[in-house]
Amino acid sequence: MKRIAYLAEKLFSALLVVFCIVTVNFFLVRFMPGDVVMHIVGEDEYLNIMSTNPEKIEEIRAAYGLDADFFTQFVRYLKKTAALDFGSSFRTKAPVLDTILFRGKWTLYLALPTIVISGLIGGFTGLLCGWGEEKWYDRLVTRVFLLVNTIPSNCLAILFLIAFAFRLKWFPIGGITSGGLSGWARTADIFRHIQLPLIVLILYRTASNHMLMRSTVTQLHGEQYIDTALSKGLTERLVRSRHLLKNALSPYITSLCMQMGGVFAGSMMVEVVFSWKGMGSLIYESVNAKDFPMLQGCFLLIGVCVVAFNLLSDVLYAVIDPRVKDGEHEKV
Amino acid sequence: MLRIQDVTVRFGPPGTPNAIENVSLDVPEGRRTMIIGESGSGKSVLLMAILQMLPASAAVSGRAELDGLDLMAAGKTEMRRLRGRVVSYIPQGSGNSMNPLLTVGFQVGEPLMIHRRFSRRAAVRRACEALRSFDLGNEEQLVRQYPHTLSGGMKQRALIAMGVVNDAPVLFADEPTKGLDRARISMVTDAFRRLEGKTLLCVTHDLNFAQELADQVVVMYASEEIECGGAADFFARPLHPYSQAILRALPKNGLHASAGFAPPREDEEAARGCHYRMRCPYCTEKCGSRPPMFKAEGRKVRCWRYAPGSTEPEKTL
Amino acid sequence: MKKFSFSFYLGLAILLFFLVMALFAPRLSPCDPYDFGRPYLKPSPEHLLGTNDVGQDILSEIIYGSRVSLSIGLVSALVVTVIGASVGMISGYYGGRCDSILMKITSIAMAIPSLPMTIVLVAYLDASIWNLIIAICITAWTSTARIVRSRVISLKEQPFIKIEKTLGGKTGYILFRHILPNLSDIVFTRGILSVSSAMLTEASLSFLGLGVLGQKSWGGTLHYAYIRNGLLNNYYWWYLPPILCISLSVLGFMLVGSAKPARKGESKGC
Repeated sequence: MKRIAYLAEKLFSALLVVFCIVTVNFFLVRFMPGDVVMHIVGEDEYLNIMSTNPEKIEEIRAAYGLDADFFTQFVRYLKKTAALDFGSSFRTKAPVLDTILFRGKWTLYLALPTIVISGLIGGFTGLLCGWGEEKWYDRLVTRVFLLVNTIPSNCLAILFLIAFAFRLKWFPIGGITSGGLSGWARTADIFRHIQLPLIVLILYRTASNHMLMRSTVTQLHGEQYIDTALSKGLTERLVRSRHLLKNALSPYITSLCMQMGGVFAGSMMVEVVFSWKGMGSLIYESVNAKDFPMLQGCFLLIGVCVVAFNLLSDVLYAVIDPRVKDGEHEKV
Repeated sequence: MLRIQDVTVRFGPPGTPNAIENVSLDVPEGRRTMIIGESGSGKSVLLMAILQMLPASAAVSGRAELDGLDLMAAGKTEMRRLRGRVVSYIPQGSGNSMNPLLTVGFQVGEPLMIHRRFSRRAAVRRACEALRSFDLGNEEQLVRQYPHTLSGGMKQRALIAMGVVNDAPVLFADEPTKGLDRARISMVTDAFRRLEGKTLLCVTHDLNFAQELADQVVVMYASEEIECGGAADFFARPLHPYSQAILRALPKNGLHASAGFAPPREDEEAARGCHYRMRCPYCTEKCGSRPPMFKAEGRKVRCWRYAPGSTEPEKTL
Repeated sequence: MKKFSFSFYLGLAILLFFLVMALFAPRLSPCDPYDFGRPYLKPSPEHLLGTNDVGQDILSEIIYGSRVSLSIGLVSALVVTVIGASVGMISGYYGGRCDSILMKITSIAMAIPSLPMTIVLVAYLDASIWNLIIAICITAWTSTARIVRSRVISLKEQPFIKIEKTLGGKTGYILFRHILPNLSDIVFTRGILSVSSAMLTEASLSFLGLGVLGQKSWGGTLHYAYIRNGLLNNYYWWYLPPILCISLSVLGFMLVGSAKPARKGESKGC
């Protein structure tokens, strides 16, 4: 029963977060310096109309309902958002949703393998190094990963791009495909292009996953039940796989789940460096073109995704950890 | 018979004080031996040292012979096979001594799965029986529950069940009454009473609990063993000044607080001679050197007052 | 006196280096970083790190850049830590409804994706140094608040705080004289780590061209190196120094922040 109450509470706060994001989106446009109409039709268009046909501004204002009071506007905005109508881009005039979905797909190609591979590798090395704390391999691996973590992802991407693409010419320089290809040839070409950004992302994520798993394991290592298990005559291996892993896995899976939530935003800097036409570079292009509808759409989608996966991680937590059921264990 | 000889443990680099120093004692077969001492006197370290479960950084020496087999010299794999089959360890029930994500039944039955290749189901069934022998109540349901649903006393008794489920002849128990109230302590005491024929080596700082159960008593103070003898004799007439002090402080003996009942000093000067001399009301010049274990009245005691030919009148209680 | 490990002193040395660089930027830099000259010069005795696309001296750019990067990092971290610690202390100490409201706000702020949020905010606001700091701080205070809260909750149950309460100590007095000193270690660690994460965010924003307008910063130098084809033409003197500076300063803060006093030999109390 308590488990249901726990999940209901989580669901409620998830909805609250989505509501907050929508509200931020709404108010950002309204509270910005300058005419609201300008932010809705775009600066160039606004100046254009201003010079040719100033009355049209008021028409647009009425058409968008901007002359109504704040509350009515807000309700209308909520309705539109709920109907997934985010308007169209200033830059391309295309509907925001279509563009986001198209670009999002390319980000997923990059992000999903990253999460799976780095989740496996990072978890494995973290477990190993956490168990053999301060052994030579732990010192080596952990230091390397610590160093990787201090380099910002765009810097690491630039260094890799220069070293492996420009200098050694092992990989193409950037983009998704060279163009003019179809079928299998195109797939193979995309695969060639995806390798380097993927390597950077995997390295980066593996480093943080390793750190997470390692610190969890070193913490659990001092727990009394590990001693209890050893005193029963279990092999170290069995203690690790049966007693330690299960306990270490719940925070780890929760964290992987949150990474899934950040899937659209996580690879942004790397996408920009490698001109990978995914969500990240879409945000980058929109920012530079002051394409606000697009930016808001991206922000909303990213936010909803994060919230949804946070919710999923809470659900998983409740499934894995029996203490949640009795409301005894408060997640910190 | 478990013969513990000259066990010394040191954490940290050479030169740092020993956590336990040259502890030697015989644990008679089928009897209950209680090690009494305050926190930090090194009594739990002794158990962990014999089971080879101290961190690798600890420097351990000594012997612990069980039927001719030196436990402390056993190889890693051999030791692992001995744990839970020949020597069972019963951790203290307060705190996190059971894995929060595994059921009670699984954990209690686990030694059977490891040492006798029981199936999971058979092990849980046997665990259920073991729990029943300690009257935990509603055992069929209990084995399916998770540890956090158990009270401290239940958990401790479940841990005792875990220790005996595989019929290990020797049991080590660590502070089984810690953090429990009187009613629960009596349940745990009762559980230990049912362990007929087991060789029990139990560490505690609960004197009443020790008196209820012990056949033999060992007192440890500041990393040393200072007195060892039969329980009846010990509680009737403790020999070492420290033992006298702690027994006098018991409510039933009049709650006499004394200067002798104070934590050991940890400076170098205190470490040279008898560790207790700084607190001892009977301290003499002789105590500046470390006393050996003397035999007196069929017991062993580490105090110069019991040296052969000592002229000092034996004042007690 | 606590003894610190080697890595702590290494981190401290790195930070000191950058601090001196920022404080004495006008003295140290060989040229005015805003002066135009011949573009794309290779490193030479005259321009130790060459020049960029409009002929500005890159060494001077980097030296001046340390000012923006460090000040944004330090100020944001200060704001984040003060807000986070106050929220954590109030919420942990008072508990009850106050706690649940504050924690709800915290968990909402935590769930909002921080980098996109910051980018959207900066894109809307003018790119001034203060707006950048606001944008960085708005989601970054949450983890400090949570950690401080859980520590305060456990501290509140400690006997010395309870005694203080029964003696009639005023709430403010207890919070500042008794609880705050016991939080100093985590507040310090969180603060230092916030500096490095704020600097990282600033570098990312500047790299995307969202940095402070008209001010030199490391991320900004990298931004121009990137969009003006500095990578393609392999002008290593242009893109390597900012990368090195960002990474080194983040490393410095991490080393200082995660340092524990050197352990005096482990002991396991039994």
